[in-house]
Amino acid sequence: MSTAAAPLGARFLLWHRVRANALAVPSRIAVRDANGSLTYAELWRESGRVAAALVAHGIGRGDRVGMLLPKSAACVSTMLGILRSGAAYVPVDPRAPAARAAFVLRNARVRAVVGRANLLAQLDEHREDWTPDIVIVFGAGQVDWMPKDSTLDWTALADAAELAEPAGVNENDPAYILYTSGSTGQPKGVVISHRNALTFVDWGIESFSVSQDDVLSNHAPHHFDLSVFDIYCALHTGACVSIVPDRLSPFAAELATWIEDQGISVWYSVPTALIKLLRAGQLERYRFPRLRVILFAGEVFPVKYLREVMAAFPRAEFHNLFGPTETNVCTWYALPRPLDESVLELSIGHVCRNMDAIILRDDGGRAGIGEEGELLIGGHGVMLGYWGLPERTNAVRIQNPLHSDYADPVHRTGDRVRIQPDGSFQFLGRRDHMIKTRGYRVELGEVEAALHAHAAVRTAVVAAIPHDELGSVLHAAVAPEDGHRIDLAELTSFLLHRLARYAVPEGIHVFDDLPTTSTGKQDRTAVLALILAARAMTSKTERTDGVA
Amino acid sequence: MALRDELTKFIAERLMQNRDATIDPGDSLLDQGLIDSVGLLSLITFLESAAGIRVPEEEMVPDNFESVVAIEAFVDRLRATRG
Repeated sequence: MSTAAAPLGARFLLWHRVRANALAVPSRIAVRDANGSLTYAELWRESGRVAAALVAHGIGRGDRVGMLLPKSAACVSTMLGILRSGAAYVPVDPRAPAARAAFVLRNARVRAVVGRANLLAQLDEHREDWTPDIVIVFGAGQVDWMPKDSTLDWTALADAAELAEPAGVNENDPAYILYTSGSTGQPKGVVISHRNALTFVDWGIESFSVSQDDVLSNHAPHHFDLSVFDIYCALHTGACVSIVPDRLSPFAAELATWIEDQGISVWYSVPTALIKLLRAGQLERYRFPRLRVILFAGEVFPVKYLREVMAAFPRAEFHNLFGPTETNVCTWYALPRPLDESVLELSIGHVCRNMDAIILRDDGGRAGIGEEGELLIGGHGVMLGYWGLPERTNAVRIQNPLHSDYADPVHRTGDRVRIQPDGSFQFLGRRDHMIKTRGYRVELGEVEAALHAHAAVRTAVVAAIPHDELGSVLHAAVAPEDGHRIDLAELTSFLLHRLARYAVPEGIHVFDDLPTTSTGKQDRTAVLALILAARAMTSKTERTDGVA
Repeated sequence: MALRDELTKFIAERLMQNRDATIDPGDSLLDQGLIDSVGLLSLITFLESAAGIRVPEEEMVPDNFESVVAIEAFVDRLRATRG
């Protein structure tokens, strides 16, 4: 506590301040996980080994390196090591089906992968023409499809004697790529630069006064943008990030004990995790004296539950963070205490520092107080683009519609927003078919494409049914091809081979035919009514508690 | 099908998403990260229908879901207390 973390200063790559803290506060704990902890010096040394191994194989600026690892402190040193080599990292959901993981690694054309042997081994039948130059195997096991001399053992990586700063890397280079659900049926990669991430991290450190005395939780998975806040706001300030162990994450009472024991001071998660803590965490056992900031994002927090959560953590300030992966957090709302009784829906607040927000009316004009339109975001937090998808990028990256004086790109979020009397924003919904379930973002089109890929399915429509605690749950209506019978268990298994588990519909309902509109398109409204009717008949078998 | 077989099939198909790996009855499901929040919910729904039990909220603790063996013991205990 006697030494101070390095001053933030003008550092332009995402790992620069970690190096500064490795020199300033080498013996402070940087990362904790279920198995132990890493000091700043250890984190620096471990990440240096990864960087040196990559550099020795010619990997650096302009390359990507995949990560296929369960959440751990080693993930954090791997991320830093990849950045220090000059490459960008691509974190892949270790729970995703092998076909999906392989798609991401193939699509990003990663030159190396750091991963668990069992997860890497499963990629073989899906990797097609993709073979990385090297794999770094974490933990025991072999990867049969890789040549032995291109397979490195994480535990045997050598210390980097002198690791030069990678030449030419600048703040506009990609730092990482996060894959999200894509409406055409395949995930799409959101490319975030060092500058994009730093804009967000600087805002986070400043807005919540993060300092080296803090312990930040890391609840979100590392392929999910919430984790960027946890990891880098901690490592840039000399604070500690404590990774929620996978084995207790689903168990609310154990999670509450963990928050207390770890002395978490800044918590960040999706609302469903907080609602679950409220319902099953037995929170009355603890006073959580260190917990000073609770942040949530990813979906709408029903106000009735939020009031209860705020009462259960009376010492903490609460903030609603808002923004798609493409912009990082772009607006935020600091909740007043007490939350006025008249509040029925939560504001998403005002635009973040170093960002610009425009609400564009449907007629192309800028919305004023009381008006609504689409939220456009400009500024340094906005992504570089979708990986390998210039047309998709150009569809969302447009010239600021309010002027043509100079190039001023802004991002179309697709979110409908109304401007409140105090100038803050109210989220109204989406202008497309992207939904949130348990905080995860799912394009209904991706699920429909997976259903259509099955030989027995002639047509399929997926609907999101609003759910109090989960945001929404997915249900599918399908009609069979002539002469085919749909076996629900088999179709579900088929989907589980292709989609993340949270994207697999909770119910699949078979109809002879699905209603269409007068123009021959699928009639989503009518299909939703069909699903709701079918669901009402079977509702007694459903159960929706024990959320998140 | 015995509960163990049904359970093993459920874990392979639902929790491991058909990955070509096998689970031994004593293997820790939790340490392998096979049970996340979504997985726990679907596992409980499965147990309630396959074993005819109801899992009370206070029983949602790691010990009860550690492994196939632990889940079997948990189900037996719930059945016994229900009488």
